[in-house]
Amino acid sequence: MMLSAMDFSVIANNLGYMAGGLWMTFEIAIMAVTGGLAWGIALGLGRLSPIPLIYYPASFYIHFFRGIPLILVIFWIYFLVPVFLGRSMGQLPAVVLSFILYEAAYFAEIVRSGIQAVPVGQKRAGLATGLRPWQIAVHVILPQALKKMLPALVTHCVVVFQDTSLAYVIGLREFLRRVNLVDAREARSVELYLFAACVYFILCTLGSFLGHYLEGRSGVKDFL
Amino acid sequence: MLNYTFDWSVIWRQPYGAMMFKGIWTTLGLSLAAWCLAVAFGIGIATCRIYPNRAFRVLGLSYVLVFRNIPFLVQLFFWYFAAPLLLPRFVQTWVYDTVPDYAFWCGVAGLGMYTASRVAEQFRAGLAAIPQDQYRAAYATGLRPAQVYGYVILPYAFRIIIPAFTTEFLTCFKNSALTMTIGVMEITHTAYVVDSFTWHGLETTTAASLCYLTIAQFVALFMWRIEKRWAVPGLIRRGG
Amino acid sequence: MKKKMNGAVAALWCLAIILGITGISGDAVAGNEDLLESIEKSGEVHMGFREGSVPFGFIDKNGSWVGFGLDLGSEVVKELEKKFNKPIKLVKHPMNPKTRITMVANGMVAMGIGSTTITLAREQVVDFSLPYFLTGTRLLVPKDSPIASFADIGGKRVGMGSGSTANIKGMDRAIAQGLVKPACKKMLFEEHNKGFLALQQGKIDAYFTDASQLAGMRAKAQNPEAWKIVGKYLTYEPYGIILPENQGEWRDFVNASLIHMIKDGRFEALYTKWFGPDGVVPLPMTDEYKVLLKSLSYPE
Repeated sequence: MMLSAMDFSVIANNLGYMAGGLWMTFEIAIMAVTGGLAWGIALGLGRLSPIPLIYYPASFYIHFFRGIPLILVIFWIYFLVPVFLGRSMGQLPAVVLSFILYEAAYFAEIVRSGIQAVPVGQKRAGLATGLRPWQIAVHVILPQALKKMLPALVTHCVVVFQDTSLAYVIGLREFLRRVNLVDAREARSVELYLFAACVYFILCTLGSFLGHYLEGRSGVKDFL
Repeated sequence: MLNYTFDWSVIWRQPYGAMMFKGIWTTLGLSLAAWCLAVAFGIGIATCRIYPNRAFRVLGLSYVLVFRNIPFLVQLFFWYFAAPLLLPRFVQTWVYDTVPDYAFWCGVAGLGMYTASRVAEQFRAGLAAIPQDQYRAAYATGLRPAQVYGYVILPYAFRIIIPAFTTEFLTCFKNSALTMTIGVMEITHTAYVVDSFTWHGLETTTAASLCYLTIAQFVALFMWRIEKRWAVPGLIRRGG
Repeated sequence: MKKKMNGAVAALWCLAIILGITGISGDAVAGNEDLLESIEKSGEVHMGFREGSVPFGFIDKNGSWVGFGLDLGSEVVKELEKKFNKPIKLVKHPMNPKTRITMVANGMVAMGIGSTTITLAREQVVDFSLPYFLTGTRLLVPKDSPIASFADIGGKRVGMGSGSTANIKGMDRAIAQGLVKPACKKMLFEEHNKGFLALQQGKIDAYFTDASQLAGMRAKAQNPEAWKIVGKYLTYEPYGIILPENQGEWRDFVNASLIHMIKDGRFEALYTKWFGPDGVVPLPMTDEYKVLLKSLSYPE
């Protein structure tokens, strides 16, 4: 099947339907990143906590979620939560919950290494000025740490964006799933997946460049 | 509300037990082979990216951009369905006839090449984390560039990036589950197949999840030991 | 030290999860609620349908979810409305071979209509309605292929769907009985579509599955004339609606709805809509299938 034998009309004919899925992909990605980052910061701080009651659960959580494929996490959340709650859960909430729980483990590790890169003198200085520990974390450590971890954060956001395609396992119709469903009807796999690859490539490359731009702005350029 | 009778025996009852066991082996073999490929390729790409020659740097950057910015699921599809089309027809037929587990090797290539782009970036970050003074000091003692890297920088860099490599290996290991889309019978796919035989999917999926968790914990533990043993003296040890 | 403990605790976690599910299952079966009653109370019924299986359930050119299964589901809803004399809302859920069993088992859907073969092993886990569709397994091959029957696929590479167990088992039996000699190489595909692509590329010599699926694959091809479906039925594949266990009243109701539809011709009209000469997948009704439908026309 050479390029000439390809039939790209299938893309033009189904563009509207597939673009609708792209919107959902963004929706999931944005919710996963904001929720996952918030929960991840909490976990990352917990992992640096001197209190064993906080440190151990946070570490266990991170190791647990980093040891299991996302596709299985989505599967479990979708099917187990209704069993515990006694009522069924929509697909979108189930997927978003799975993503937040799973990606938080990764964000937590990024946050932790970012915080560890902040010189310890900053913390001591904070203590010396009479700030409370949580004030030091929020006003002194985190703003500096977030800057340092920006490259890793942006890279991971791109990963999250691509991971959204795994929501297909419980039948959520995001972009790649819609491409797949059009394929199920039209059987034009090569053309459709080539199209999907281009869309992802363009969006993710834009994301990466945005990351580079932010890095430049935040003054950690010398890191690269 | 769960109207379901559990039958855990499907995990070990024959012939399903043998299938599940073979699935675990396939997962391990696939991720290890892909990992070797990824490390070899990744280091090559990272070298290209810091090489003084501009053409090499562009090559390295393009590789990373392409392989990192297209979802792995889509890449696998290309390795399995589109890549063979570039070969002449008789070579294709020969490959399909002589390589029975063609999908497996496609999975290895796809997973390896994808992971390589991530390994390359981690490796590059590791090199960047080494203080410039180290390079200067090494050059000042009269070492040639190859010696600077071979004796000073690389031994240092490898030890710094062990944690990141552990993460990447685990990601590679878990991503191997996606090769089921091209028909590789690894553990997740086997779990689904046993499910379609017995309709006891909850048990088989639990077993698959436990396999991933157990292996991942072993790897993490092992790497943590290596990390501790080879830690660069004088650097702050990674917490946790 | 810390990490060593992590491993142990992760294992405990899993144990807790497993115990959790097993424990719950015990209670759940005891506290079963009658499905028909809860449908009447809530005024809505949840059903699972396929999304990527033409024409049983798929996304059409306008992006709407249609298919033979969805039409059957709406007919059951009409029967429900007649019974309770009030409007019943149909809530549609996407269902695939990976999720169908769990969705029915944990009560997310009251029934699942796809292209599911009734097997005795499956009957142990869920309930099935009466068989409403009858097909059998055949082979899809290129038009100029030397393969004309199952006797010709010995030693060849044959693709099949990894979720189509009845097919895989049928092929294993045929090999054991010496119908296919030497044994063919089984290549499993996660989706029929991928298998068809592999067939187009010559990665496999034939694709083996239900005739209804093969007809769908052929109809979708760029040039349907380039493909042919060969071989006598190797196995019979009766399709049924997936229903939860221990819901006798509900199963009786679904079966009665099916029988009414078959007797008053609505079923045949639906079949013609999807499988007739002008349907999405032209597939003439076999004589065996006609006999099956006649035998299902129970008197009132």
